Amino acid sequence: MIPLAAVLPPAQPLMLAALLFTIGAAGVLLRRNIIIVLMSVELMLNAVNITLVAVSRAMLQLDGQVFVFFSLTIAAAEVAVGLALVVALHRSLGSSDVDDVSSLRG
Amino acid sequence: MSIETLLPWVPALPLIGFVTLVFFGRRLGGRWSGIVATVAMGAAFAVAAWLALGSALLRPGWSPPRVMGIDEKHVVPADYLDHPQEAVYHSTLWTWMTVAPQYDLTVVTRPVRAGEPVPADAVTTIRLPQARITHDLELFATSHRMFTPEQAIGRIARLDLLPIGPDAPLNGDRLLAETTLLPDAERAIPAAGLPERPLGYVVDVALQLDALSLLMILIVTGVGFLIHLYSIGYMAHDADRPRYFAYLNLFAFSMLTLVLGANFLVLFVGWELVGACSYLLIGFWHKDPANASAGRKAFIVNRIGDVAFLIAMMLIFTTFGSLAFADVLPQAADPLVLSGGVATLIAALLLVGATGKSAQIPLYVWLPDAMAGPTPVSALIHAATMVTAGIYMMARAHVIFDHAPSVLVAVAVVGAVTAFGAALIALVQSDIKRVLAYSTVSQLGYMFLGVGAGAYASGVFHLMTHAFFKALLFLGAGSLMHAMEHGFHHGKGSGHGAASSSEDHDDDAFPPGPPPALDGIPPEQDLRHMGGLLRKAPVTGWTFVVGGLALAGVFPLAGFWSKDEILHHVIGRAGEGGAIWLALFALGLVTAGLTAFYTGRLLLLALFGAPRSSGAAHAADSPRTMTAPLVVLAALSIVGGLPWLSGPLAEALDPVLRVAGHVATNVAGSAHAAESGPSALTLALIASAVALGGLALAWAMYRPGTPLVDPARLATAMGGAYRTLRGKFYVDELYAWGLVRPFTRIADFLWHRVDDGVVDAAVNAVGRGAVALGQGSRRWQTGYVRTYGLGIVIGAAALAAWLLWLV
Repeated sequence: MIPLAAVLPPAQPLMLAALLFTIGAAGVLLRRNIIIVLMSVELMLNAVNITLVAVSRAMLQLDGQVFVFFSLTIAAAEVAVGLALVVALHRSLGSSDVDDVSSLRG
Repeated sequence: MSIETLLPWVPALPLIGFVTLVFFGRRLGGRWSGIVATVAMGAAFAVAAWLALGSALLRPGWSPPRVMGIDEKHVVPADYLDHPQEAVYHSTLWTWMTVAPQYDLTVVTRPVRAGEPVPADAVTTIRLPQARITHDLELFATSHRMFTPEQAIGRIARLDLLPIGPDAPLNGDRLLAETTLLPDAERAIPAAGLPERPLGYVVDVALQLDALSLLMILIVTGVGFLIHLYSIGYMAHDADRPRYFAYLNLFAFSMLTLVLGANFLVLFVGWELVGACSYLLIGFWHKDPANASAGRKAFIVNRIGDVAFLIAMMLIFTTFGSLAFADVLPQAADPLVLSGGVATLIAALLLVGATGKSAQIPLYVWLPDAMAGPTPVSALIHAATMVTAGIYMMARAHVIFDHAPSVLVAVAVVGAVTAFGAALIALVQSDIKRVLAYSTVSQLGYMFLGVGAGAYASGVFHLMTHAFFKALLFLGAGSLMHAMEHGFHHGKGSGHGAASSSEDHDDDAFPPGPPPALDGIPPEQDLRHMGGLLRKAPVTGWTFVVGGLALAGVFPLAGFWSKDEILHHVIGRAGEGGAIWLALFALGLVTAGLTAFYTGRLLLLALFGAPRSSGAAHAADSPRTMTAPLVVLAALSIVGGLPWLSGPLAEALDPVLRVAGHVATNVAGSAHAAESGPSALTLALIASAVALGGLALAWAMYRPGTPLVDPARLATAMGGAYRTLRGKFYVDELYAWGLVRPFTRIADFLWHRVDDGVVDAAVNAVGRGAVALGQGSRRWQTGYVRTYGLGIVIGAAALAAWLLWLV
């Protein structure tokens, strides 16, 4: 077992991942257009993927990289569902603004 | 089949009828419901009669083996043992509950050498409470877990608590109690929580047949069968017959349970069940609120007596460690077990219980109102059977009463005063059922008087004859009401034409249809609207006359013999000294005169003279299902009291109702007390003269045509007394003012202040608090996805920060 300190991944990919994740999170929180929100979610997913690949490479194991493929396929499915939801939402509400979807408001 | 196996069928048959009617009554319809119920009662009567023939109870000179034991400490009076014990048949159905365990104490009786096992001859097992633990018992050990003597000496007493009974577990369920043995072992044992008296007792659902219960089941099933038969005709036009007959069968089951129970608890179950049936049947026509409230009144007033009875049972249990008659009564004969104070307390509480069920002062007020039920119910429950339960219970527990002479005097006083007061009220009532109701209260008072005089057999004898003639009178009254209603409808339905075609042309004087009710009394049961019914309804009329004369105590009808016997015993007590008995005898004699008077008035007003309404003018006799029971009961009222029956009856009852020898100085034994009074013949002549005098006075006042003494003028002359009697001494009003009103006020206070103000308010406050909490916390739910997202991000960031901080 290789000590954790010896295999710390290079900083750059992780910083990129953190940046992308932050942008994605900000987009999810701040944007009101539901399509943009979905895109931001994709950004966050891909930031995680980058982390997985980077750490996997640093630890000289393929597991993380294989895992990314799963992640990608799931993401594709998720986008399909998400877009279908967007279409359905647009049909019923006539809007793609997330703030209009507030019928659960207390 | 043996008596023991046959016995449970007596109550079971009406129960089967009840269950059948509950499930299939509607499908069977009214007519078949009546037939099913009547057949069930008839079968029960057949079984009871078979038991009577099959058992040796009524065979004179028969002496069964003695059942009672003697030990050196508890000497049962020899007199009690010298007489043949009653023949008792027990039929245990199942074990109901185990009340408390019994203690098996294994004691090492002499010192044994250290280190050696305790030899078997040094061990004795004592079953508590017979164990007399004294100082010379040095060592305690257990046979199951033997201690070495070092362990046992002066240190440990181990008691194995064994639940007894056939199904008691003998395995690990055994309770173990451990206690340190103090030098004074006698004090150590109670300190370990052991009772001083035996508490190990199994309550059985058991039936017991002896002469007393045999007589009772014969009355209940016999009279009950006749009244079921009568009900088929009487209730023919009621839509609710399946319910009616189901209740009637349930009542018969309950009453049979009451009289057959082999312990106080089974008796009490029957006691409560008959109360419930009484409530259900008084309020049978519950659509009229007055009937429903009469039912409630009966139930609540009875409950007061029941509480006293319940407390008495608890006292009996703590005193004797058992509730079974076979355990309690022989013990109660022993003055060492039952001390005077406890006996007085138990007997007094039993007396209160009996006054509730048997409608005596001060709890008699429910019985006159109970006439709201159908008339056969009044005959069966409120005259012949249920109301006699108190007398039965006192006769059953008479050994306890024997120890409480003061309570016996109280019983006699309550009985005599009730008999007198109720007879006074009955003098002036216009409602035929109310006259009979107060007459029942009065006659029950007579039975109490007999019981109080220590003449239990005479009380039970009067119970039996009263069951015959009072059932007859009530059924007759029902039949007369039936006839009157027929007359009203006749006049109303066919109008003038039918009336003129009848032979009585003067009847046209009455307008068709029932007259308006006077004083709230339905016209068909109002004596003021009757008259001349003997000619219109001859079978009912003549049997009614027989019942009335039996009630009045006319020789040689049933009432004469039993009433005479009671008076005979009361005057016998007076002969022993004691002015109170002389006063009670006088009261009893005056009551006999009053009874004869109001009975004569009843008969003359209802049956003789000219009709006083269209109902009486056009009355017609009832159908045969109704008149046949009347004829049978009339025959019983004639022969039921003859000495050829009462002699063997008293002999058969004697072992059950024998007064224990050592208290015979306190209480008149049935035989010798009578000798000190006037001779039986003199007394019979006096009683007959009084009865005939009462009847003659009634004739003078109420004879057809002009009365010798005008009752109306007498009423005006004695206005105050008349109004007081007419108002039933205003006891109902007194209770309403003194008891009911404070209770309703307290109830109102508890309702409005405590329940609405505190309990409900607290619940409402909790509800309002929950609403407020919801109102406050709903602000969290903005409904904006982004708010939730922000929450997630902040949470995730906090989690990440925490993890990093941990690393």
